[in-house]
Amino acid sequence: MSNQALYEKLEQTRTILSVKLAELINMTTIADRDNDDDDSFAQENSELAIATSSVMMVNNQTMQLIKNVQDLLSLTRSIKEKWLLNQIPVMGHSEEARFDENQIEQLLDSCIKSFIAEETT
Amino acid sequence: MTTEEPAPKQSDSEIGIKLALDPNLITLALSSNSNSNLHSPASDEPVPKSEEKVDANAHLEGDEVENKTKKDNDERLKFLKNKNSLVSNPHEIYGSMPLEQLIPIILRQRGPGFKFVDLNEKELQNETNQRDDDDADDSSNNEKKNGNAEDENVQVGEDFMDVDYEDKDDSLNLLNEAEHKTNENGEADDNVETMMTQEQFVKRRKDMVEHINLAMNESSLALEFVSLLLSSVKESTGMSSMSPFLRKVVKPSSLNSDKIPYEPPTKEEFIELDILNKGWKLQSLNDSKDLLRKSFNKLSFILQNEHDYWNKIMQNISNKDVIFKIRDRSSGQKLLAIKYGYEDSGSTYRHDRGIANIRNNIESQNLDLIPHSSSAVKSTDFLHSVKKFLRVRIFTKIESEDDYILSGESIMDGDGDNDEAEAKDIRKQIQILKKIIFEKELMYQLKKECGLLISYGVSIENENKVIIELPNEKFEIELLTLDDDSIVNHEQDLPKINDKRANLMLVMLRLLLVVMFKKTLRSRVSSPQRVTNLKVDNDVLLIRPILGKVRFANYKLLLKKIIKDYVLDILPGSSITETEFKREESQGNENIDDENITRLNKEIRAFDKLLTVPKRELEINLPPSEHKSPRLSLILESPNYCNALIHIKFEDTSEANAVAFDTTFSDFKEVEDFLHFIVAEFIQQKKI
Repeated sequence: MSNQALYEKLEQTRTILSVKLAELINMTTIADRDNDDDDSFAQENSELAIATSSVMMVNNQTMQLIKNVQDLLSLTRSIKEKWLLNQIPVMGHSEEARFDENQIEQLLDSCIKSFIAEETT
Repeated sequence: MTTEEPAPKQSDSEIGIKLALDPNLITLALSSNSNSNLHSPASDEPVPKSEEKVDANAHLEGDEVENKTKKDNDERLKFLKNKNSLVSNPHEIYGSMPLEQLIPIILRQRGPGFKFVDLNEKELQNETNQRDDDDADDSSNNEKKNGNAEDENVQVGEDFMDVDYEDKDDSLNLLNEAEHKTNENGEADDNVETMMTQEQFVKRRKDMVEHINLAMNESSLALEFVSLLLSSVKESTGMSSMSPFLRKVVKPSSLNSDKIPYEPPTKEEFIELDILNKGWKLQSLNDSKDLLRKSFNKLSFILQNEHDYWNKIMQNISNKDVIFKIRDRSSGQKLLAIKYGYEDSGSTYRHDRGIANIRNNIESQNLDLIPHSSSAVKSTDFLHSVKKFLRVRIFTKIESEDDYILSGESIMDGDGDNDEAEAKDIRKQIQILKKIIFEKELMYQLKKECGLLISYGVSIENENKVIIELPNEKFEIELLTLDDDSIVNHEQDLPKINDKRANLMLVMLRLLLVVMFKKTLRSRVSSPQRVTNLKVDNDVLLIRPILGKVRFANYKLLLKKIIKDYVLDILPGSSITETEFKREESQGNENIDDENITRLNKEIRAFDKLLTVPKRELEINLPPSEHKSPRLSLILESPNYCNALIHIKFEDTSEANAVAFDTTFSDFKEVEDFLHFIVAEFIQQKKI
């Protein structure tokens, strides 16, 4: 996923999260609405309507909230993968010539000598 | 007659004809001019009659006898309509009237008992004269006649009269005026309709039929509804008007209705609803809360795991590792995998690509490495069971028994004891895996090289064992698993004399494999085509350099012995000086200006000591004499590591007949003979 796509996804998820949270809070309001007349109150607050809006609140809004948090999680995961799998620029070679050729030669020499000498004597 | 004639003619044109017997005409005449109306009829009537008779006869001749009555009616209708539309020329109508109609009218006018035969010109003239005489009486008489005529007309043509009477009523009735108009319009339409084409007519009729059908449907539906509704109260009544279909399909009295008065919620109900609302909402809020909390816990657990996982990856994986995404073959899960094999470092081993999945083990809070070759086996078990390493054993020959005893054994790598820690640390796991794959490749390459070396005592005993035989000892290179019997049972063995040599040999073999890697890498970097398979002859150099060293040392010993026997012992005071040939300095590709290649070259050169083909010069220092002593030197070399070539150079420039030899032998027997020859012929002889 490109950077641009990641940004867009993040922005989308963020928007949905805030909207859903706002809707959820909106649905939980239990204060009386003063400006409503009795009829519309009765209509809006029939048992069926109340139950429906409540179930909606629980299932729909909450689940979407959760789902979007999960989305965020997977987003971070893909960012991490991007970080890990991308080419890391070479920092420049670590210190040049970590070994001493002469020393290696001496070591090898003594190694060979001891290996052969034992055998030959 | 002549004097009278003009008068009737006048009345003919103006009012005379309005004396027609039709009562309708009378009503019309009354409205306009009653006097003239009353005067003229008597005088006028005969004229039209006589004229009409001829006309009508002619008409009758032309008309078809069948249609006669029908036409009569039509004409009457027309006539009446014309009157309605105020086309008032009754004379024309009477004139165009057929005789059969006209005669009865006249008969009626004359009253009962009158015979048409009696009507003649003289009588008619008398009548007119008589009328002229009693003018005063005329009007009343005329009225009576009209009344009679009216009655008669009613009896004859009631149908037509209805319309007229209605019209009269309508004109009086203002409320019905609109209807009247539409009626008139309808009549006008009818008139138009007569001029319609057949199609238009058919279309209109169809529309009308449709509308009627629709209306019938609607009404029958309504009837059904009402019947059904009624059937709940009075079943028999309802059923009687129900259609058979409805009766069959719907149960009677299954529909009911009641009138419920709307009651606005009372204060209590209102409050109750409000409480209910609040209760529902609170409960839902609680549910929501639980749901959120549950998923929060779940997600934070996942998050924690993720966090740990990535932390561990960050700690354990550096930018030197090769990491890539992979899909697990068994579960289809997406995973990260690490490449621990040496393919990118120059390895050409293809039997194990050295790829392992990195899996997060939640229980042990660790990363697990699952090598690809055996994803079915659990990782730790896998490490233990597949953990393989190379062991070099040295057997020394017992001269007397013609048998070998184990004199040295390379030790197992020391990190076998802390198994628990190994399993936990992914870095260690990677190291072990690397070691395993390295050892496996080493064995694989060793076996490849063995094919070339059969003539030098190298053989493959089995899949995992290579044996190198020398005159007085034997090397065994073996790939073993960690739990091999020979290891488990001999862990506490005492150190043996050749242990160090065995270890050194193992180290050298490993170093040589590294050099091989580096060489492949160099060729990959410097040449465009990728080397996939190594040539055994030139590239695989593992046993040969080591074996060569040993064999060369043996050759040297042998050669020294020969020299001692054939030169030194014969010529006292002579000695041997041994010099080593310096290796040739770097080859052609030094001039490539690439940092990586120069570095690689340098690294490869560091191991030249192991790889250089052994080459020694043995200079024999002949005892000093008065003459300039001749020079004798032998060069021993093993171009392919294992064989022996001996160059012998002899120069004697002291005398005039200078002698020089430069020969090469590969057989030590020949060297013996040649040395013997030189010493005897050129050195000893000279001394003598």
